[in-house]
Amino acid sequence: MTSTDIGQLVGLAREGDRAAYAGLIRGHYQQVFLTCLGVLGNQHDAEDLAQEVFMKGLTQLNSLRDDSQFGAWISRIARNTCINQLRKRKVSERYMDKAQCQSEGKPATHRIDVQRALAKLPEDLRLPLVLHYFDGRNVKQVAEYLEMSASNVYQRLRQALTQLHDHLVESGDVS
Amino acid sequence: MSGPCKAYQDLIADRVLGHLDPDQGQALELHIKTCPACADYQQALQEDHNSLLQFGEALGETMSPRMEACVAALTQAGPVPEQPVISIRRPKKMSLLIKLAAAAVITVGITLTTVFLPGPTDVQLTLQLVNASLAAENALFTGEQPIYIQNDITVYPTAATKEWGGAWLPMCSLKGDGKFRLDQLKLTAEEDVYTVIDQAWYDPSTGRFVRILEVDKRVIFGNAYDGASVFTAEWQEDGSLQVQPQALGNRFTAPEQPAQFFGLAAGMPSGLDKGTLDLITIEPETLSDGTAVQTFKVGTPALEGRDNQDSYWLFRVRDDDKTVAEKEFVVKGETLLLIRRVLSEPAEAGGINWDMRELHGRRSSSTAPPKAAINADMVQTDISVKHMIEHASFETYMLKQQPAWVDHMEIMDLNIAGPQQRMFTLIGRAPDKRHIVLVQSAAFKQLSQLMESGQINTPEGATLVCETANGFQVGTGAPAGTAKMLLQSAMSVTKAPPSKDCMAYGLLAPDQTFLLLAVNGSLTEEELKQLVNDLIPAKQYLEREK
Repeated sequence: MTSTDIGQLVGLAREGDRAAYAGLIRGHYQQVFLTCLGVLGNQHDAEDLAQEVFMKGLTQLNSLRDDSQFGAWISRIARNTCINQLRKRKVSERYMDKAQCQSEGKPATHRIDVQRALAKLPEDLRLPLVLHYFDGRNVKQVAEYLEMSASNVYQRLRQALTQLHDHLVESGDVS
Repeated sequence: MSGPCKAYQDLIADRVLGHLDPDQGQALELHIKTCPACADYQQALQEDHNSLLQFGEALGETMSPRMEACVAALTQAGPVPEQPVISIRRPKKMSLLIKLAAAAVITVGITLTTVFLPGPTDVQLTLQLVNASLAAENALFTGEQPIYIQNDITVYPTAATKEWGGAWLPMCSLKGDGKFRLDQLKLTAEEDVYTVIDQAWYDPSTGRFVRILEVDKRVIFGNAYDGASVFTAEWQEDGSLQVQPQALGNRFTAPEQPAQFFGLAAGMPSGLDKGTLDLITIEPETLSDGTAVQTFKVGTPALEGRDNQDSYWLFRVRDDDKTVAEKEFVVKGETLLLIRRVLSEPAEAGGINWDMRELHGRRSSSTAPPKAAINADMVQTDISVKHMIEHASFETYMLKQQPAWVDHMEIMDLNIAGPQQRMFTLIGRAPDKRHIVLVQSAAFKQLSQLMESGQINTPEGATLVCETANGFQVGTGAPAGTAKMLLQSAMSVTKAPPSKDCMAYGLLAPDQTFLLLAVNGSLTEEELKQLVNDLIPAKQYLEREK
């Protein structure tokens, strides 16, 4: 989708054309969903928040100043919305020692263990990992998206991969 | 299986991620041939990498149904409420503005600040929006239930941040005697954006509170009152966080205006009068999450010859409840700081205990210095002459007698940017408003040394006004706005904004110490000469007082 196409769709959507907005959703759903997944670590929450983000985008289209920048704009809404959601989780959890998670005793599939391991990562490591592996962005693109240096992204990806491995080892999936 | 060698663990991860350069790759390859543990680790990481790719592919297959579900939900949603079209008015031209909490640089880069103690209740606020916002911020802290507030302080890498080595904000912490300690939240310049999380819990029924600042999940500051004691949490040299209690003094009372203590109202302009209001603009905006706000802009004086130091604060006040949504500090067109209200909501109880016991004894897992830190006692008010002598790295001066038109004098110690810029301000408050502010700084000594060596010239337009019997030379010629800035920095004592006819003078002592004097009004030549002639070395003053 070119920026001209995006600009046209935004213009139509602003005038109430839902089909045009549906086109914007289709063009940006993956990046919004994966941003939500990267911040929240949970697919169900990511799906719910992605819908909330697009609803916000629909109601706030008038505040978008450069229609061609819809993608960056909706991504920013996604990150802010998810970060606020994350912080609404009970603050007391931040300062109390967390109980060790008990094993369920059932053999887990490899895919579920990857998901669990991902959820255990801190969001500042998980988001670059998700964007790199699941959204097909290279390091430079991740750096631009997250407004950080490439060297910082390299460092976070490295930490994310090694920590993910440690979590997978704990879950018994990897020898 | 034993773990990989520490020296190669990161390299292995880099190789799996495809980030290794050829030289490092060769070194790693040679090592792996002889190290089974590292070879196994590399294989395991490669498998994890492949698992992630497979997981991503599987996730991709779920994208279409999720997307269509989202489209269907929004298509079936009711009509979109009409949003007002926001027109942004062009800002009016600005001239001199009130400086809030940021530094202003004069002549050779001396940093001055405006100090905001939690404001006196009799300050006249003539700006209606500021009134409404302060009232709304104060209202957050009333009610029957404890409240939780979180503000995020985001620091951006800008040209100014790099030039200044970072940024800083004033902070207040409560002491056991009921007075406030004025600290400095120092924010280092980093390559990337980072955020300091400022959390506070407050119980209106008892005045109990906890305030914690964190960066990178490390607590850097804690201040609390549990009804019986005041507590501060500070890092010790042994790397542990210690929570220290302070017994309450006889005159202790809990903060009367918590909003100015740890809300976003801290630092809002106060003491404004019509004479200084002429260049504040207000315009409507919408935040990225759709919140409608009124934005008012207050800046710092652009000094003569330093027009490119244009900097200002933007306060964004919500239309719906008039609380402050965010504050933004802009320097040379770039956002340097963004302080954003993330949450303000009732809390069933404090998120941690009112005495912060959970924090005591904590150790940081990182040895790297935090990106933000507290410089305690950035400003100390009403210090003694002895304190000034003991802490100054240069010759300081004191008035041997109080000027006839002054009814109160005190000395303020500003320790903002380290010993080289430590500053002592002698403030004389006058009933007829002709307050005097005399500033002495280590940085001024550097200035006079540079002038002596010819490395810099005396300011153009400098005029010698008089020479006094004690050997001082008094001159004018400081950049426009200097007097105003000096007097603003003393407002916590003078309780009044600078007048339009305020004057600044440079004083050169016989020992070549340089001082700056501001007067909030005009003095006769006799009064000025008498004032300067009364300056004696502080050590000599102390001897006389014994």
